[in-house]
Amino acid sequence: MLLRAVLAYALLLAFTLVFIAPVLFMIIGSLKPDELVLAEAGSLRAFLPESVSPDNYRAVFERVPFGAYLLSSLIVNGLIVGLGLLVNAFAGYALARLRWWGREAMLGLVLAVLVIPFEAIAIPLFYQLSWLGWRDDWLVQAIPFVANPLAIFLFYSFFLGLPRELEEAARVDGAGVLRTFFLVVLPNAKAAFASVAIVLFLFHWGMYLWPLLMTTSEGVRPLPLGIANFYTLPPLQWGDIMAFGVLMVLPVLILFVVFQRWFVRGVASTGVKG
Amino acid sequence: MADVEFRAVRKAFGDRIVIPGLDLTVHDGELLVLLGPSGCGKSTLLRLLAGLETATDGEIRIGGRPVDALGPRARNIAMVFQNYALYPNLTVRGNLEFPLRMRGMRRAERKRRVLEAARALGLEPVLEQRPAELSGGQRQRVAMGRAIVREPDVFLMDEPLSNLDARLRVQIRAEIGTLQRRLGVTTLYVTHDQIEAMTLGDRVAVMRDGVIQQLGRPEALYERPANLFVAGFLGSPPMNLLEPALERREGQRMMRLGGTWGQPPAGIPDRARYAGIRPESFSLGANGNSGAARRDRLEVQGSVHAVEVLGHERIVYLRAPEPVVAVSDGPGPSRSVEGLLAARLPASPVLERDESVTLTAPAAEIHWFDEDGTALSAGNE
Repeated sequence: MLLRAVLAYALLLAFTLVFIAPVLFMIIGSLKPDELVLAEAGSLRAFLPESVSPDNYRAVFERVPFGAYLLSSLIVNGLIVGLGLLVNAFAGYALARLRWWGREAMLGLVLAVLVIPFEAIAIPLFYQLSWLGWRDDWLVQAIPFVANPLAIFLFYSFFLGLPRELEEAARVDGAGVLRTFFLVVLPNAKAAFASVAIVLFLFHWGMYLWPLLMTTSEGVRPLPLGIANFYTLPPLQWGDIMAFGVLMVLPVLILFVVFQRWFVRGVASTGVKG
Repeated sequence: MADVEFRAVRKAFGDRIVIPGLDLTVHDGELLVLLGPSGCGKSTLLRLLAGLETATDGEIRIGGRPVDALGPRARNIAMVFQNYALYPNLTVRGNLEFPLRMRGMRRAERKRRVLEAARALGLEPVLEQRPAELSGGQRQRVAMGRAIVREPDVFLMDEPLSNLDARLRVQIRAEIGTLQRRLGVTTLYVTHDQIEAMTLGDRVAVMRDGVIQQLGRPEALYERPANLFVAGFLGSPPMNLLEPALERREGQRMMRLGGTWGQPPAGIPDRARYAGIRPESFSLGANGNSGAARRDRLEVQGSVHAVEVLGHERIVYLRAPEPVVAVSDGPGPSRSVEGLLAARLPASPVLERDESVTLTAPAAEIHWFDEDGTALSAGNE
């Protein structure tokens, strides 16, 4: 019994190490002098921070407009998450609760769109927006991603699980559809909103292809383009690149830690107890 | 205050007809109970009145005004749901205030009404708590409070007591009755619990398959059920239903009821097919004196199958000498070959299992039903 437990934990630990190693390598590498990062990469010393210094971080801010990249990323993702929560929640609610012609077909369509990778429609979308003359700003990086089939589906299944009587009570009490949504449904769907916010943010924080196609000015380019640009900027400094990586991952980690409680609840539960 | 009228109301969900066509008037200030097994259409009727469902056909009027084209908001009704449907994100005060806010009522007036309702229902100490922090009984009271603050024309209650334990149910049942009489608001109350129906209703409508089987005062329904379904649905244990055999022998009508042939009891109608006897109509007779031959009484001999001791009385189940008819939820009576006769008897003398006993009931207390299960002397309005 004990042996089995030990073996199970050893296995779990091994898997954990495999997955966490690159992240540790990045964090520790970002604190080391550049010449040691690759030199120690093949040994366990890669994971030992011998001489800690913030030099690499300072270099990131000196060599590229990191603040501008970060601001662009925050604005674009803020738009996607903010507008996305509203639009996708409306869509999910309409599919789950309202009765309208073509509802079933629309639900099928949403599910079908779920499996189409973005790369497949990137070029047509690029031509469409170029034809409209819409390029090179924050909005164009955000608007095409506001409506998200996965987010709609997450909201849809969450709303299906909400007790219908709550909404019926609100209607009998005199609330219309919008007030029922904002005053009764929304406050009881915090878990769903948190999950969708995290999903949308994670999806788009690392977005590369679309900003590459649509932007030319440094001022509107997001972090993934920034780090790509940084790679190509001589001299090639691995310590600096690691520091850039850490800075890029940090907002995602913070967001996840803050919302983790709701995220887990949102994924685990489909209902609210009265 | 208002009366409520259903005129030829029909409701179908796709091909499934839930209410085939129903007429019903609920008088102003009356508490009418819709009673029936699950799926009989009673909740659908309530939801049609609330405006949560649309009738396929027919007309609904509240206070003489047709409301079919109006949404729930415009009907001025309040509803208490089975699971209370309290808004979990709002405090008790917020819940009570919600319908008033939705109507754009002024703050001072809202506050006054909420306090008044809270005081009437003993909710003042929990006004700032959320539903999750309340007991079942308190939640039920909040749901009631949310209905009364509105001062609506009609109350709708959809099995409001079914989530409470037995003791609390009795207490809140009485509170609902008192409150309804005090406010005098027309009330439609849906339940499948016959005791709730009998104790609360000014009138009771027993429903089955979307059709009202009988409508009347509770005691009338109990004493003169219109058909086998109502007879079997009201009463605990329900009415015993027997299927006597009738024959003409040597020019005389003879009947087998209770195991032996004899002269039928006096006043038995020609079309009688089923005989119904309430458990409390039976009393313990002298043994060895059996047979249906006596014209003024029915006598049944059998052996005791089980005894339920209730303290001041006992329910005795007797193995019946002939098939006892059981009423099913489906169309027509179904036969239960091994049916038992139930009798409500005093606590003494003590009866043992398998003991042979004779039960006797006055012929005048036997209910007679024809082939279709319709009572041959019913107590409709």
